Amino acid sequence: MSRFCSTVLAIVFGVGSLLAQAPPKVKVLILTGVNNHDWRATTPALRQMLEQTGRFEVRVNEEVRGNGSETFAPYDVLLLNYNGLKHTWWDIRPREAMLDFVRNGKGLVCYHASDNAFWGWDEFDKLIGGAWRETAGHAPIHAFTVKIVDPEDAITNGMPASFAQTDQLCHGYALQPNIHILATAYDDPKNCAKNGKNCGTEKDEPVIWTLKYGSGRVFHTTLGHDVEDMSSPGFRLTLVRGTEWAATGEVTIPVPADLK
Amino acid sequence: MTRFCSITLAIVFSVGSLLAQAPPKVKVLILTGVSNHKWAATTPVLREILEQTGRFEVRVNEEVRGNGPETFAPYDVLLLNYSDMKRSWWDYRPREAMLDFVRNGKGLVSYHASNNAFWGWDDYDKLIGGTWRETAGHAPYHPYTVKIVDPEDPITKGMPATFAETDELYHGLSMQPNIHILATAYDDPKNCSTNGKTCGTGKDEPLIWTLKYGSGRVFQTALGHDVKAMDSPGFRLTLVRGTEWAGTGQVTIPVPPDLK
Repeated sequence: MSRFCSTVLAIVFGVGSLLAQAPPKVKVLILTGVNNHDWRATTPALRQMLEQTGRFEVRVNEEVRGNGSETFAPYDVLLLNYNGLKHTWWDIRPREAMLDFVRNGKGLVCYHASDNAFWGWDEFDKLIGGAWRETAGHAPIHAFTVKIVDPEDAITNGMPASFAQTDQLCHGYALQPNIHILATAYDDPKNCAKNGKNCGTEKDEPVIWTLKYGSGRVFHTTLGHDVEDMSSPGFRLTLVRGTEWAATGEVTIPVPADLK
Repeated sequence: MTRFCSITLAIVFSVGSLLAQAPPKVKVLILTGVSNHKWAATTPVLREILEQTGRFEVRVNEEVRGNGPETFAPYDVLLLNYSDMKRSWWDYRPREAMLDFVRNGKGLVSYHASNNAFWGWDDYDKLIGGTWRETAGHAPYHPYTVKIVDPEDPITKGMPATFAETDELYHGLSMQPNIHILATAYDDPKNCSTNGKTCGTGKDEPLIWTLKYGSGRVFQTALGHDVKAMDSPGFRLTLVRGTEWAGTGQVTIPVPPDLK
């Protein structure tokens, strides 16, 4: 075999083995431990749906006070399953570290009631793009249709135009002007609480969006109230693709057959 | 009813309701996320063993880097399910915070291979009273008898003189002089690895001990290699009573009928 030939073969095999190597896993740190929702049940469900894609390595911190930049630095994306409501549970150290983490180019996922955290901390409202504040609410849990409003986004590309969801449908959020809405749902005004109050708004309400914060990326889903609501293929796919995008800026996780 | 009578009744009832109130739960923070053992499988089991007594509230941090005194302060006891062997994974901040936490009067539990962490950090050896270093080893996993050597200690009081365990049996740990040994097991010299090289020592090896560190309390168990080994009533009872003692200095969890 000529020297030229063996060099060519070495290059071909080298490139081939590079292509065959799986990319390094996306490192996710879930921040939880305080929530008016069942964080003990939903956190293992989030971990499982992320890890079963093979794309993520997940760690969980249930005590965030005193965490800091050294805690977050080894990760690509932070996922909030946290709701301290009007009590600002975290001290300044993890709060500043989270802002810096995203601002400097990493990712954040805001899941369901996490957008109800940190009342009065304006920078958090800007970070997640839309927060549950005084004007927010939801009609009873019911079956509704989630409509993809930007089918060309990296996260939604290749998904069907709509998916079914049984969940809370949040409305009346304090939205930031710079969000990019990916999905909405029509909030049926005939869906009311038993006392006839708390009805749907009769509007298309944004339920999934993204935004930039500094040079980082934020994925926000208001869906997934409990483990049952988290079991829908649409919730799961948008969560895993949104998390991958927040961490890396790209989406490689394919749309599965049941959502094509 | 006289005034005297109603005051007396009020006192009687308020004392009664105070006595009927359960004591506040012992707050446990499990520190894990790195181990040469299956921390992702054993951590939920540790949580379950503790919480099913009704005596503990458990949180888990799987990323300890950057944690500090604010992270640990809300807890009564830290439980290590962590073994980075010769690599000091944690930065300085959580290491110092852990020493201060115990030194200033709180509790620490070192579980199984956690005694194999932090090679070369002398204060850690002093903190947990006995560490897996150059001279340590174990013969193959096998059934053996754990002997209570101090039946008057609050952790072992009321337990039978022995319990059965199928587990690793550590030997050759580097022991500190100030430990108080609660349980040992005879390390059968006929129990050898298949190549005949790693055999039991023919000695009673210390497996469970306590010590003081500053004004704090440390409980160490070398037992519980995997989920199967953690299933024994003796492992579970010594773990929960040892954790309560480390957290509070007292033991209130009763000995269940299967261990009487």
